[in-house]
Amino acid sequence: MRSLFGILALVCSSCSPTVFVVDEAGRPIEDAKVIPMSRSFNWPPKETDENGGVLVHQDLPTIDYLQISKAGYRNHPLVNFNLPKPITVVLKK
Amino acid sequence: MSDITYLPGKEPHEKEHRLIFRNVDRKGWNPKIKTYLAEGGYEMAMKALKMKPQEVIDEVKASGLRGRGGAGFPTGIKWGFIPPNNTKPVYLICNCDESEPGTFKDRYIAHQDPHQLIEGMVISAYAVGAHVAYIYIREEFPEAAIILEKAIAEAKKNGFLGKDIQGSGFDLEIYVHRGAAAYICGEETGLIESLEGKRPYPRIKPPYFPAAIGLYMAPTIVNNVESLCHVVHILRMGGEEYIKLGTPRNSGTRMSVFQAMFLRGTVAVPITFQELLYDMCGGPKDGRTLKAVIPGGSSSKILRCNETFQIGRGDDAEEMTFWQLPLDFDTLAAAGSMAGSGGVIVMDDTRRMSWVLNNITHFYAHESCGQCTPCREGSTWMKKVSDRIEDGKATPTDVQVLEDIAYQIDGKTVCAFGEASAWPVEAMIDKFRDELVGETSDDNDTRSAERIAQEQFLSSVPQ
Repeated sequence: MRSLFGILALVCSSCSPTVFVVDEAGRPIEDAKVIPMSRSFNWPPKETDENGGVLVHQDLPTIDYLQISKAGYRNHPLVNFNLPKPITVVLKK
Repeated sequence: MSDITYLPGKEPHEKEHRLIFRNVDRKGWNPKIKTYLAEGGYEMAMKALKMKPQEVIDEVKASGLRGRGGAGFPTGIKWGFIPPNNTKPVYLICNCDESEPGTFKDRYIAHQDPHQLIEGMVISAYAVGAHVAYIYIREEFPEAAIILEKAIAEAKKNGFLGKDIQGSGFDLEIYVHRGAAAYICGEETGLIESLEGKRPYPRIKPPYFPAAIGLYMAPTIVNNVESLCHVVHILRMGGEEYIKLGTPRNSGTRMSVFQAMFLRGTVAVPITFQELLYDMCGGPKDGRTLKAVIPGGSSSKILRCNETFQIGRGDDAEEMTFWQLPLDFDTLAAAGSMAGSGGVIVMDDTRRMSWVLNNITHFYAHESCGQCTPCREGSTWMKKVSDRIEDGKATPTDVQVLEDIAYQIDGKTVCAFGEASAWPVEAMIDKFRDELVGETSDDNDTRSAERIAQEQFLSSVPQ
């Protein structure tokens, strides 16, 4: 039973967003573009949901950075993907 | 030709016309002189030695052969630059310092068909009146150097090199000279300096045009490996037939090597990018689209795959998409790039252009010989700025700074290395500015408030 809970917890944690994008007041930003990047490649862009969250799994080649942008906000410096998850990124106007 | 078979998986594409690469990856082929002679090897050298040198030069001029090293200068015309009243010895140098990133065509010839190169050198040396020739080979080709040395020994043993070649009265010695792993030695005057045992600082032109003042201050012809091999086929086919393989200003075949989608080939020009990248190379991987192509080694300007170009002038101007562009010298020049060394680098939509830019700037910063200040300082500065962009630590102004540095190098150096390092940067910013700026942020500005205020004040003061 305990192991079942463990597996369930693992499945749930793997489905929950790993990145949250918010504005300076802490409000979630929907439809922000998140591009996972290795040193040389870009993965296809993802968009944040209504809670400002997006699920990005580590991949091969290793994802090193996230590029996060949204029209109307300033570009955020590349985000180190190796930080503890979930990562919260603040976009400034 | 039809009875030739190739090793499994190495068969040429049906659109390939193999001329120089005829024997590369061929079943039953080896680089020994016995194999080469069995197929009519050195017959063209014998034919040339019965002609007058000027007749050989005229045939090469008639063929319209353009140098395959990168600049595309007509080979016959280059040979004709040797002063007519010259009393000094003439030297022939084969430039096998194939260092351009993305290019590896000459290596195949040296590895698999060295006698084709030696035969081309015998004909060319006879035409220009050289009795000593050098093959300048880069240090990174140690196997090729050994193969060439063995081939030279074989040719000498069989009477195709040395004194009185086949009773013609013509003498020729060929020496293999190994470089020391410097990109600048591919520049012909840098190569000559290196061959003389000096630091390979390129010489200023004028007055040091090698055909007039070259190796040991004597007239010297420097030709690329592929160019010298073409001479054999020009004599076999005749200049006029050779032209028909391509177009009058872009005659013969051209070897292109491709990175990303691998194909080694000799393609008859003009072949379009559509034919090359989709029909011959099979296009991108599933689900991906092609983003950009560097058509002639890393020094050439990058082209976007969704661009359209105005080719030609006046009433003859024609609008062409990237896919319709033929890979010939003139069209690629009109499209703002160059055919260069034939190394085609292809990038799909997953490729980060900041990484590509960083890769290129690192190479040129490392390889700058350091003779000219704009290049020495500028290439290192460009590397530092592109490091910042790639690491996500740059501000949007850095992209402009990078562009400004590139324009300050362009045209301000002794040799073409300056342009080679600046052009890719200029083109990358021109074509992918939004992507590069997208990786920067004003938040990365680490200058202090006082510094910013000071800079704003200084910029407001009239000059």
